[in-house]
Parts: sequence; structure tokens; C-alpha cells
Amino acid sequence: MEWLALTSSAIAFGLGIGMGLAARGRRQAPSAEPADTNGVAGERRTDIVTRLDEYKHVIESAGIGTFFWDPQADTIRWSHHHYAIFGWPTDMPVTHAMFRQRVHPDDLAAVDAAIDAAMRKGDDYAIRFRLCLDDASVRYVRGSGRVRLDDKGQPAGVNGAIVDITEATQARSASRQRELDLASVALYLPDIIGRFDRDLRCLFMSPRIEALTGRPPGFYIGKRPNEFGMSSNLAARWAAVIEDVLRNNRVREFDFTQADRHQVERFFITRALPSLDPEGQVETVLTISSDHTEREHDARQVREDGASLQRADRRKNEYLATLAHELRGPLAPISSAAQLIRFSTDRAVRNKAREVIERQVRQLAELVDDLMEVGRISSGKLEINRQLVSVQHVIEQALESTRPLLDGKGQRLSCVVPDTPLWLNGDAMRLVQVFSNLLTNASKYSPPLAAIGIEASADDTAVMITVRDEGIGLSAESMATIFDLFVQVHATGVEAQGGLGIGLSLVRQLVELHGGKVTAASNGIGKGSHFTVVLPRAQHGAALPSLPASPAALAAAPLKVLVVDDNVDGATTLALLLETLGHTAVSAFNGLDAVRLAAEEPIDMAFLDLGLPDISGVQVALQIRGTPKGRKLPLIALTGLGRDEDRYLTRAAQFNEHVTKPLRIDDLVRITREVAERRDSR
Amino acid sequence: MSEQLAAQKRVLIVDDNREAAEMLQMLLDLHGYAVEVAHTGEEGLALNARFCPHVVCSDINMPGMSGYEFAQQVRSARAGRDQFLIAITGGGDDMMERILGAGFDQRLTKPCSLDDILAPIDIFFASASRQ
Repeated sequence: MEWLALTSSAIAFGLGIGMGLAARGRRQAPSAEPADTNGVAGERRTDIVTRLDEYKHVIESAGIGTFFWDPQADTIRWSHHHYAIFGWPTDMPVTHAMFRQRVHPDDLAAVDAAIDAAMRKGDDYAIRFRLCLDDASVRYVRGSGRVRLDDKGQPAGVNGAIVDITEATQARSASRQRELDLASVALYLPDIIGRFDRDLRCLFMSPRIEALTGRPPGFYIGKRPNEFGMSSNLAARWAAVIEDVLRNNRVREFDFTQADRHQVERFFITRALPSLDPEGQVETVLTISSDHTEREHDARQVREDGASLQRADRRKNEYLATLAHELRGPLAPISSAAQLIRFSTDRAVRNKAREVIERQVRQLAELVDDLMEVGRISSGKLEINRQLVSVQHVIEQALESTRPLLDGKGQRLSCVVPDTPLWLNGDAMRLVQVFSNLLTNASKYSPPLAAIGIEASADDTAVMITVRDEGIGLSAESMATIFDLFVQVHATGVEAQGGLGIGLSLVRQLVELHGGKVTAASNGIGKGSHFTVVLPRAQHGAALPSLPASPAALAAAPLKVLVVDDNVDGATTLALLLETLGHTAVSAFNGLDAVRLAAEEPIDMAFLDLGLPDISGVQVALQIRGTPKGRKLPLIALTGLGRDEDRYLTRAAQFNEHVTKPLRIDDLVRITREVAERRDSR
Repeated sequence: MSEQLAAQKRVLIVDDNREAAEMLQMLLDLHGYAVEVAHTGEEGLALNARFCPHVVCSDINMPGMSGYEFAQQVRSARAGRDQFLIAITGGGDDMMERILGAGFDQRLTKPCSLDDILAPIDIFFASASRQ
């Protein structure tokens, strides 16, 4: 009952003071109580004891140790539980010093300070600190006390309590440690981590959420999924999954799409895991959300690529079947013809058979050539050789090659091209192939007597050529695929004229290799179509502004011309110009080569630069003139300066003409024409 | 029909490939058959009614009426039941059922040698004469 005595003395103390004060307040007032002092006082005493009992139970069950300390007398009375907390036997004499010895050295200063402050002001204190006990264990405690001052302002006594909070502290620090671990994991993982309690409220959200939604983690703490700003459907799904995990202690996975702060749709896969308390009950749910957007896009891309490859493969297989059929076509009459030749003695029959074989073999050869082109197109191995070529020249060649076909069907052709040449940097033969193809198609897919047109125009940077027809036209659906390989647009009633359907694919490849673009347009089936080719103009500078491109200026009689200049660019340009005019040029960059070429090649004329590195142009001329072949060969001197003495020299060397560089186009045309005329008139 | 023609073994060729048809015609002619040529299914039907061939050799892939349709029409006529129909194709194997279903008796693949084509015709005429 020592405890009771201690507590009761503490309370009595307080009561006593209170009563004393009250008594003093009342002075010598006659007592209002009835005369039966013993009975009432006895009742009061019992009442107090009962109440003290109750307090004791409360305090005991709370694990509170209590003390009373008289700092002036340095006496301390501890409750049983206080001793238990310190691990000392009950009733062992204790002093404040002994208490202080057990306080953890790191916490001692704070404890002293708290108590001193309370002692000075007659105040309360409460402080958490650690005790280092005899068995070297550390206990977390919470100490509190109330200081009473005497009327001199000195601490007269301290009533206080101490509670062992080790378990709670450890639990809290373990939980804090877990949270800290989670936080650092969350910081470095690309996934977004969340934690939800049994109420579906968010306890933790990783910082990465801010990059996704623009809202910091703090926005989410304490909120339920339906308050996160997701669509209500998505929030409901989240809630359902979390509840499932809470209730059934299992791992769940689900996926969803969600727009991020930039309105970009992202694809997530979330795993929800149960997090258990020490008793094995699901306490919280961890959610880990991975952004699978790129993987999803890649997967989608792979699927699309797969589908597209399958389609291409199917088309190719259909194509191969068509090819086999087409190839057999010519083989049948060849076989029959061969047998006719074998069995027939009739000359007419045999001649006919021979003709058939020749014709069909040619056709087969064309088919095989087309097949080779297909191979080249498929593997991207088409090559082009670039030269300066005029659109007018290309169109003219294309018309020439397709005219028989058009004439055969009585189709009328109209051709609109400007007079001034439109220069392209490209492969003349391939460009002719492009337009021949387009014209052939126009003819094939138009009825007899229909009109077909080709027109060319240009702006500053590009040349546009359009081939128009009034034929069977194109449907909107076929427009997307007609330039694909192996696609042939079949229309009923049109005689499938054979061929391998590579024409338009070849056209597109060639145009694109030249840096251009080809498009098809039509007003619908039966309403004709037109194909437009856009090609970049040759950026050749001022070299060729006024070269007339009408056929009259193009060489009727091509010459073979020797160009001699040690300036390679100069020689090349002149050679190009000559070739554009339809001549053949052979170049030399020094005098000795010039002399040799003049002797070896069947040249019709030569342009000679006078300033050569080894022997001068004049020397070259003299040497050429010394040969029988060269005596009458037209030689044109090219110099940088029209100096009079140079003219004298060149005349002496029997140059036919002396022109100053840069050579004007008009001069070039005139000179070559004169040479051609002179040659042909011989 | 002239008496002479009526006595001969008559073959009708239907093929849009003119040279192939002409060559075959000359070959069969060489072997004593009377041969007519049509270049479309419609032409073929008209010729069939007029010329009354014993044997018909027809291509399958033709513009307009296909070889299948042509064969069906030929078979649907009274005389058609006794005629010998040969399909000459350049296509794949999966067509066999369709060819037979349309009414053809036999199928030859281009290019066919003289023996390939003569054999069934000879056999047909040989067995016909036995009846």
C-alpha cells in the first residue's frame, strides 16, 4: 500500500493545500457542517479511498510509473511501476542523481533543461528520452511532471509520471523506416508507387506522380481514388482492385490508359500488392504503376508491320501466279510453231511459224526484263546516272516510243510544252521510261480515238509534267495502292494486255530517285485520269539560260567533239552542253592527250584551250594540222583573253575560229551547226 | 455444211491469244483435222452452233465470257453432251475441280506439245468411231 500512501499523500498534499487555502479564506467562520463531524468526515474519507483505488487501477493499467520529488530535501518516492521501468527493486532508495545517471547521455541535456525550466517557472514539463538500464538495454520513456513552488518561489515539490513507450517508439520507427525505404525506392524507380489504407485513402504517393499529372504527391495524401481527378470509371476500377486486395489478400494486376498533363495518352500496367501487419492481416495496399506506353506503341507497330507484311506477301503470291500465267502465254505459240516447222514442208507455213517464234520470243524477253526490274525495285537497287537533260527532250523521246501504240488505236495526242528549255538533273533514259510508261497506260486504258494529253510547266524550283487521259479512270480506293508493286488495276471489259503491273511502281521509284513526286487523280471510274510528275529543276546557274530547246536547234547531225581544257570544270561543262545539244564529247585536260585523242578518235571538230600545262593549245593545233586527218579538222581556240596577239597566234596555227571564254551558248550552237553543215555537205 | 466438211473430224479452238490459236490451228490442220478458230467465248458459241465441231479446245482466261461459262453453255445444248471439251490453261492446279465442274472432259497446261494435244483428240475419235 506504499503506492496508495504515496499517491494519497500526493493527493492529500494537494487537497490539504487546497483545504488549507480554503480554510484561510474562510477565516474563523463558524463551520456550517453539522455537529456529527466524525460521521461525515468518515464518509468523506471512504469516498477518497475509493476514488484513489480507481485512480490506481487506471494508472496501473496504463503502465504509468509515478513519483514525488522534493528537490529541497532531495527525497524521491517512486511507485512500484516506476521501479519496474528502471529495472530496480521496489523501495530501493533513489535520488535525483541516480535518476540522472540512467538517462541516456545524448538526452541528458534536454531532460535537465526541461526540468530546470519547469522548476523556475513552477510549470509542467513533458519530455521523451531514453534510459540506459543496468542490463545495457535502452528504453524509450516519456517523463512528465508538475512543479509546485513555495511562497518564496522555490520549487517545493514535483509530482510526475513516467511511461515506457519503447514498443510504440520502435513500432513507429520501424514504420517510419519502412516509409523512408519506400520513399527512396519510389524516388529512383521509374514506376509510380502508392500506398492505400483500409479506407482506400492514399498514405503515400511517389514524387514521380508530379511529372505525370502535374500534381505533387501531397495532393493525393489522404484522398481516395475518386478524388484523384481520374475519370469516374477509372477511379471505380482502382477502388475495386484495392478493395479486392484488402479483402482477399492477393495480388491484382490491371491496365488502363490515362492522358498525362500534356494530353498525351499513356498506357499503364498497375500491380496492387497486400502489405501485412504483424498479425498477418492486410493493413495497406501497395500499388506499383508502370508506364508501358512505348512498349505498347512498339507492340502496336509490330502488329501493324506484321499485318502489312502479310498483305504484301499475299499480293506477291498473287503476283507470282499472274507472272507464271503471263510467261506461259508466249510459250504456247512458240511450242506450236516449233512443231509446225518440224512437221510441215510448206514454206508459207514454216515462214509464218518462224515469224511467230520471233515475235513471241521478243515478248518473252520483255517480260523477263520487266521481271528483272521488279527485282531491282523490290530490293531498292535502281540506279540513275545524272546529267543535264531538258524536259522537252525527255517528252519528245517518250512520245516517239509510244506513238505507234497511240496511232494503232487512233488516239489523238496533244502536247503542250514551253519553248524555253526546262532543265533537269537526271537520267535521260530513265526519265523517258517514266513518261513512256504513263503515256502507254493512258493509251491502254483509254478507248480507241480517245484524246491523250501531255503538258509541262514550271515555277522557280520545280517542273510539273501532267499526262491526261479520258479512259477508264480510277476509283478512290485504288488510288492509294496503284503505285505499289504487283498491283494491277483490272477493269471488266478491258483486254488485259499482259505485262506485269510494274509500270507505275517503276514510275514512282524513278521519280523519287530524282527527288520528285508523282500523284494520280481521277474524277472516278469512266471519267479519265491524270498523273502529275513534279521534278526539281537543275540548279545550274547562269550557264544555260537561252539555249533553245526546240527540235530545230537540237542537232540533226550529231558531231563527235574533242574538248581540251586543263580546267576540268570548264571542260566538263562544255562537254555537257555539247551532249545536251545531241553531240558526243570526248575530253582531254592536257596537250599530249589532246593530240593522241585527235589521232585515235573519229572526231568532227575540237575546242582547244590555249593555256595548257604541257604544250600549248597552239602547239596542239599545229600537231593536229600536221596529220592527214587533222589538216581540215575544224579547230576552235578558247582563250580567256581576246588579246590581239592571241588572235594572231591562233590564225597562224590555222584555227578556224577564236572565241573568248566563257563560251556563249549562241556561239556554240552556231559553230556546231556550221561544222555539221560543212561536214554533211561534203 | 459441205459434204466434205461433214466427213472430216472437226475441231474448234477458242483462245484470245491470236498467235497461239493460229499456231494450233496450223498444227492440227497438218494432221488432217478441219479446224476453226474463235477469239472470244461469244464467237466460240456462234461458231460451235454453225461448225458443229466434235472437239473443242478452249482457253480459260479470256476477256468477256470466260472458258468456264463457255463450256457450261456448250454443254447445255443437246448436241453438247456428245462433244469432247478440252481446257487449255496456263494457271494453277486448284482450277481442276472448277474445270471439270464447268463441263470440260480434260485439261491441258500451256505450253502443250503436239503429242499432248493430239493424244486425247486421237483417242476420242478412235473410240467414237468404234461406237
